Amino acid sequence: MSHKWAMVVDLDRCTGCEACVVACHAENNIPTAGEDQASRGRAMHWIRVERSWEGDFPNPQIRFQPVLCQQCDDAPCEPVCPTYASYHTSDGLNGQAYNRCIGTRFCANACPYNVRFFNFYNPTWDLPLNLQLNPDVSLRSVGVMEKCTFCVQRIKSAEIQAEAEKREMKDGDFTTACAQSCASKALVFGDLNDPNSEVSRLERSNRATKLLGELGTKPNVTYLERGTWQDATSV
Amino acid sequence: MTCHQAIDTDNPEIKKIAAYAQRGEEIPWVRVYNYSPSAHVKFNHAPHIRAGVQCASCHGDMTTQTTAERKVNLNMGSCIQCHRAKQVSVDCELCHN
Amino acid sequence: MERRNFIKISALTGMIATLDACGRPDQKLIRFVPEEDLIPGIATWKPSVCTLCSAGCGLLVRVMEGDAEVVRHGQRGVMQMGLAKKLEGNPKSPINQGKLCARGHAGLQVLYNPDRITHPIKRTGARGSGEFQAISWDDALKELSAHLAAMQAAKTTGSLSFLARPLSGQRHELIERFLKAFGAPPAVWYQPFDEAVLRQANLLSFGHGALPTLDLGRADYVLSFGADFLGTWNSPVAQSVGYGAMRRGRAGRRGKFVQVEARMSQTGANCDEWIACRPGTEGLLALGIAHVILNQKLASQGPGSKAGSLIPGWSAGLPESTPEAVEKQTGVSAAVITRIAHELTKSGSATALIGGAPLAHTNGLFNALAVNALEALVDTVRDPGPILGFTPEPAIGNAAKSTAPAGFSGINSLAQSVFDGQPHAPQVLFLYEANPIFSAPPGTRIREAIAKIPYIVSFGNFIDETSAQADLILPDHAPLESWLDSMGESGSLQSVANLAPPAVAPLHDTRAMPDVLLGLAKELGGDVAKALPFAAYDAMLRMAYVPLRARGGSIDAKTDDDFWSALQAQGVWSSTPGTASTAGSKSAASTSAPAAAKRAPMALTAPEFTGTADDFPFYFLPYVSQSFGDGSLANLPWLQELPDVLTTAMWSSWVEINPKTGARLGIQQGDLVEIGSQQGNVRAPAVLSPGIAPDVVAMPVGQGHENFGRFASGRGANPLSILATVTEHETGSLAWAATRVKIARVGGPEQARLTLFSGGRSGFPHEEEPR
Repeated sequence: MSHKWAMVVDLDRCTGCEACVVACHAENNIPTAGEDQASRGRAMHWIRVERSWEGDFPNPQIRFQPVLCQQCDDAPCEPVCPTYASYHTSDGLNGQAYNRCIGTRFCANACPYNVRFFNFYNPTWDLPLNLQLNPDVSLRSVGVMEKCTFCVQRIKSAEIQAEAEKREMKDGDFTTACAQSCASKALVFGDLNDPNSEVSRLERSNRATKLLGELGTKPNVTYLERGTWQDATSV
Repeated sequence: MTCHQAIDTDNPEIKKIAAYAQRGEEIPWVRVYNYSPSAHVKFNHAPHIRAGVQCASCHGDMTTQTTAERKVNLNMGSCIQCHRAKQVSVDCELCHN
Repeated sequence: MERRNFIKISALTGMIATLDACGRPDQKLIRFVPEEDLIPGIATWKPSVCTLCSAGCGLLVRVMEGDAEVVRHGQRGVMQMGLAKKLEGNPKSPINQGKLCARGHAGLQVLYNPDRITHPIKRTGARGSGEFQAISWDDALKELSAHLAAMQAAKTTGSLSFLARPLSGQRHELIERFLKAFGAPPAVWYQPFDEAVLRQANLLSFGHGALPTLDLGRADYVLSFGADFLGTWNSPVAQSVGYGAMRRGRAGRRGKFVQVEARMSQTGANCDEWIACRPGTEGLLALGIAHVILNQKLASQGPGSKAGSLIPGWSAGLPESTPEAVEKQTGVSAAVITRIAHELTKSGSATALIGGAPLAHTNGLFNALAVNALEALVDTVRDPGPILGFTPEPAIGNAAKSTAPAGFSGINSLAQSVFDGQPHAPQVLFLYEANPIFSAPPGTRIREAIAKIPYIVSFGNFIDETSAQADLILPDHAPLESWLDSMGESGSLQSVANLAPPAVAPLHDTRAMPDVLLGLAKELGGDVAKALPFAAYDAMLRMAYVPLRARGGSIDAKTDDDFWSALQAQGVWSSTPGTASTAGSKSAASTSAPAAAKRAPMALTAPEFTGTADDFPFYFLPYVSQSFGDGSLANLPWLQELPDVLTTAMWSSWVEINPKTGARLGIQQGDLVEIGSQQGNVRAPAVLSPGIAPDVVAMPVGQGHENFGRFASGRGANPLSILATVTEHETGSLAWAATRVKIARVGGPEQARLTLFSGGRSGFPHEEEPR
């Protein structure tokens, strides 16, 4: 059975706690930039929580929105890569092959979501922080682009496990690091090709929208709009 | 040490092993088949074994060797060739992630 | 040489070196025989307990084999050992239910922190100079036990003082037993943001002297007075799980959330309605709302409640708390007060709760009692019970909390006894992860006091401002290397006990603090040894927790041995749901509560502040940071780099100011400002925020360390260092929201050092990327 991995982000459940951000760092060996590089805009948060403000005191309103690679069906980052490092996989992901990346950064330029991060310097870890590094995830070096992979290492592990048990993968076998950590269950990950999966069910919600959908990127991340008090319908 | 505490203890090679054990040191094994980190590749034996791939096809005929040496020069081409022949996915992310 | 420089994994050491490994000769390090039997590439998941806040969430630790540089028998080498790779929430814990917060994940960086103290050290230079030299465990323990034995001989055991951060479970018990048997006073349990006020209020109002458990998943209306319940207050993960369910977990029902605060917190940002209330008047606001409910008879049940009886005028309908009067006191309009009263009582299951800044005023207890009275009035669902309840305590024999005074007053007394030169003034100070030199207000003069104590021993695993004063440091294991236990005070309506063996073997030459104390007890002999007859800490744990088997619950075991094994394997025991509901309900007074029924109602009190409004026009709000807690997590790089969710600031301190205030004072985004109180000044960059009242300025706590490792030292400013030593009237807790300040621009963005994570759409106000 072929898969189409997708994520749903329920903005009415997201609390802005950023557990997803740290979970992602821990899972994916994301380097810590340090103050100097961070002040040059080189901190890498594969998933980040954006906030937008409306209104003034005493009625300010904030909305939180986790933003990560949208794994677009029509990803603008793919056609611009001269080496096919950014390419589309058979299970609906936008893959990033670190080996092929030569660091032109056209993909980051093309991405309207600003979710691609370039290694401007060689990542280092003060020993023994390196002992925590996840052996299932490659360490990227200077000159290579990186971004959210929907925890592809977990996808592949689950595939191998399912094959060993001679069965198909089922919804809930595994999930991404961010969704696993999300206490309010705002992040849900799964297979859109399975009509009974949680992701499929939530994607059909009447609150569903896409981020910058009007650009035609066909993202595989669906956002469920935040509610107001008068709004009693839910999916 | 178990077996070689008593068996063939005068053999110079066994004496080397005994010396490590006495010092509480692990024998510094040298890996023969591996990938350089810049290859960003992960290899999992399990699906290959389940698929019935013979050890010798990647590691050479170890039954006749007395020292561990790399006999087969593996590169991505050899992996792809076999994957194509067996009609297994050649998606980049299968191995490079 | 490879085409690209990359992180070299040396074939010999198996470790990751820095870039300049090219050209540096590889060190040949001896490989030790592994002490564990691990299969490479296969992960085992071991249970543990998160110790980074008091919620007591259960963890699962992903352990995989890897090479680590260690010292064995004085020799440096490499050994294959189990390494902790990732932390996840333990699905078996009813508190966090498999989820984990941002700080919980960063707990891994405590274990592998490069600034951990790796072996015992003894001071060689002047105190605070940072000059230490290595000392063996044998020598260190000999020296320490000689010291203690001398105190016993001279009958000066009363001058041993133990200053520790609050610990739950058997470590608390062990320390108290040691001190009692030794003849020393009880420990001073100190942390800057303690919850003494709320516990006291809950004891008086509901008969439970504990933090509340909120069943938010059933709520239709939540009115929170200042509680950062989705971020840092009480049991944030459990509360977040409930919050998600409250919003979208029930088809057709969406709970409403109203937050009352003077500065929009991360929690407040999620509300449906935000109510700005004058600092310290939250209790009056609650009474204004209660007035409307009582007088218009909006509540479904009668107004008589224990909590209500504590408020003067309650039975008469709170005649002085009309919406118009309360509007003048709080700044919240009468129309809003009236509307909230109606909404609270018409919405289904409602709850009112209080936490954070409203409790940190001189009238904090009053504020809490007022909100508790409102809560008792509106949270009236009988089946299955109110939204706000209490976790039943597990029947661990010695679950009693310390009877010593609450944290802040303990610090004050400690300092005072040094200055007064009392006969039992501390001569020997034991420290365990308490850092009052950083976090206690300067008016306590705790730094001076500690400097006068002749002999100081620290058991913590980091040098910080306080442990830097130690003469001897006997470093503890990291939490993941330790036997951990705690009992959930809140977060679940089931009793929860956490118990876990070490998930990984010790990386450095450290020893578990409980085992060190047990060893000392044995060495001292006599009463101390009798009080703690355990060869190792896990024997003490076993004795304490095995009696839970008789209560059934989540572990079904036929023998004590089976129970003990099962408990270690699961990491958590919980009582059967629903069985303890009567003990946990608010209406039943807890049998362990002392007789508080005869207390006279508390007089209305308005908050008091230090500094006059003329000289110090702003209320100062230091707030517990989502990243650093009380500052003890500032040495974890993931948390330093985590963008603050409201400002996106990283690696920085900042001051939040209302834009109109900024315009009036000529302060622009990113400018360097100086905040001054009667106690002192701090400087930090300004962030203009519409989420703060024009007469309030706020600063996150956690930065401004002078001595706390490479990631935290010399970074930002410490708002706690300008707080006045003002306390809550009844409990003596520090009123950290009662300081007034003045503010002035002292420089531009180039001097200010504010780092923002800019990516994607910019928020309000526009974010400049400093270069």
